[in-house]
Amino acid sequence: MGLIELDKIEPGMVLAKPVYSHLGALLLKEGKKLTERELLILESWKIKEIDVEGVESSESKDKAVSDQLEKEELDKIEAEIETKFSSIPKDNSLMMEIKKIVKAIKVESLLEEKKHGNG
Amino acid sequence: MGMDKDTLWYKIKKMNSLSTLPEIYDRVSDMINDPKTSAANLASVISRDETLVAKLLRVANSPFYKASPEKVTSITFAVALLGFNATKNLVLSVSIFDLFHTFEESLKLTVRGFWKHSITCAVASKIIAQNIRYKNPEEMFVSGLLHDIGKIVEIQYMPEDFKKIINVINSKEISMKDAEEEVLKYSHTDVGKMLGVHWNLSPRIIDCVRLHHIPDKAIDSLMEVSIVHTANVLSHSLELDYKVPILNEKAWETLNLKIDMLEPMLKQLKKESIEAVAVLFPKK
Ligand SMILES: [Fe+2]
Ligand SMILES: [Fe+2]
Repeated sequence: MGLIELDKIEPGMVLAKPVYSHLGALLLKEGKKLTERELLILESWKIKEIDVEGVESSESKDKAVSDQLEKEELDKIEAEIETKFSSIPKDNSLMMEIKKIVKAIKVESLLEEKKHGNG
Repeated sequence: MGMDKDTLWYKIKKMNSLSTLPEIYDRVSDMINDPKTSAANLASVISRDETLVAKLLRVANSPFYKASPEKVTSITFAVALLGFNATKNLVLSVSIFDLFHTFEESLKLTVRGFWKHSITCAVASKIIAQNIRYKNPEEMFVSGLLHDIGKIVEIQYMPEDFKKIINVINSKEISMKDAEEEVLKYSHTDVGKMLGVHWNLSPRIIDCVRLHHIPDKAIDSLMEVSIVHTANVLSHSLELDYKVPILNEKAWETLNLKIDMLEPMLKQLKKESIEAVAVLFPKK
């Protein structure tokens, strides 16, 4: 089992771990065999790397799993964004779109920060 | 009761620290208005200030400003490539920061936050302008940079009123503009307009300063005001401290941008604004 980057993934590989979106939603279950369809999902969610069966991790990136965000960290971002957008009506689709994008950007940059921070 | 408008107008005109734009900007403006000025004349005047030249070239070539697809290697080249007006806007964009310095220690952080927001809004305005193929992205950069300039006048000239305004914002959870109206009976958009008129800025830039919270009211400069209004909302959405204002529908429709463009624009803004702050307003 090893963590590999998306451009090294090929159809037929089997997921060793479930894949979650940056916001924590389950995208693909563990044991799932990857077809074009799954690759498309991964791509559209901008997932950068996944864990597959029978492949050695190119770098020692296994520890990257522990780099993933803790639940509290996600909650903190969530809370911060809720406050920022608290006065915006929920049916304002344009503002809700901005909110969604900003949340994804914050999660992504926290992940980046952690990667660099942990060397 | 806060300082009234007439007193403020009087102060703006009398105080020399704020009442004059950076000298170099004035000189560049005068030269541009003179039909006899050549590109070489203009470049030679700017070239006398080496620090300014270094900064101009750095900014002109930065991804966040990207004045031209070609690398700008000299001031003469810059003037020839960008034209007079774009050069003038560039000069103003890098020298505006020198105007404000004598702040109370307790307001230093606020001032830094203010410039960070202004620079972010400048970059956002430029990004939007480029995406809709607006003809002068560099004028939008300067409009974004100056949109809240009235706030810094309040900080500099009326620190006591300004602190009162901050207290009202915190205790009532209302917007800066509403809190200003309550304490002063006018807001940073009125103050900014006064300064813009006094500085003889272009009517488009003044409209952006005056109307960025009420883009519906714009007539001649609807496109420009819509750009800065939207840029302000996008900037606030990425910043930590304040609540996000609502994007005005008319402004959004005026830009005629697809909603799919929001994500790439916000990502670009996040990246380029950090860089722009580092170049334009470095920590000392
Ligand atoms: Fe404002
Ligand atoms: Fe603003």
